[in-house]
Amino acid sequence: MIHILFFHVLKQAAECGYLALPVDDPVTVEDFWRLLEQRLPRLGPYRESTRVACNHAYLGAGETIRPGDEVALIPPVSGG
Amino acid sequence: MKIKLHLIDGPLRVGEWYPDPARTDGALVTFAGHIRPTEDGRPIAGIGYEVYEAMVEPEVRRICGELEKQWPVSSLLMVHRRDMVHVREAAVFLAVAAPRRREAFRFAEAFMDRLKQDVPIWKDRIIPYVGEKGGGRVAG
Repeated sequence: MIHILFFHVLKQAAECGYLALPVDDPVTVEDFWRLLEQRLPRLGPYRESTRVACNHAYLGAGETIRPGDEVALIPPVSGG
Repeated sequence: MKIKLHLIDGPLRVGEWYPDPARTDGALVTFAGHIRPTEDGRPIAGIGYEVYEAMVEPEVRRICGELEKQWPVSSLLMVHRRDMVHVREAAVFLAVAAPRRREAFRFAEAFMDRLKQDVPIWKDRIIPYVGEKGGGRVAG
């Protein structure tokens, strides 16, 4: 299970703040998005502008997500 | 470097957060970001923030780790509101201390840029100003 948190516009698009995505093995970010968009196609338009954080750190290219991880989808931020 | 972060609800009274620099620091640069009365040209009453709290501190520490390689400073204090902030109120306060002013100024400016790029805080709700005839100050 990957524990996914949605924020800001993505929370509205997903119509929830949290989703548990069942996976048995580590997945790439590409695979993660494919699985997520199967569940929530409405997130598709946001994919390009969204950063993926895993366990409180942004993921780099080629990194994987493992079962049990907390993944946050981070749309463009606007603090300050 | 020492890093202190506070995510708060309610008024951010800058004077209450103004830190004492360490004895070896000759510079203390502070910045307060206040809510402007307009957003995209329209009058507003305030802005509500959303924060991914668990990631704020790790991300701020990562940013500081990168910036201090270029501009060594002694400490950073950031206070950020995480609730509804009315026009003219401070949403964020930053204080950067360093032995010398050049590093403190540059670190502080670069940090604010990175805050607005990387730290998971959002202006989540823009509350329009409807004027007194609207029956109050705030709509939405």
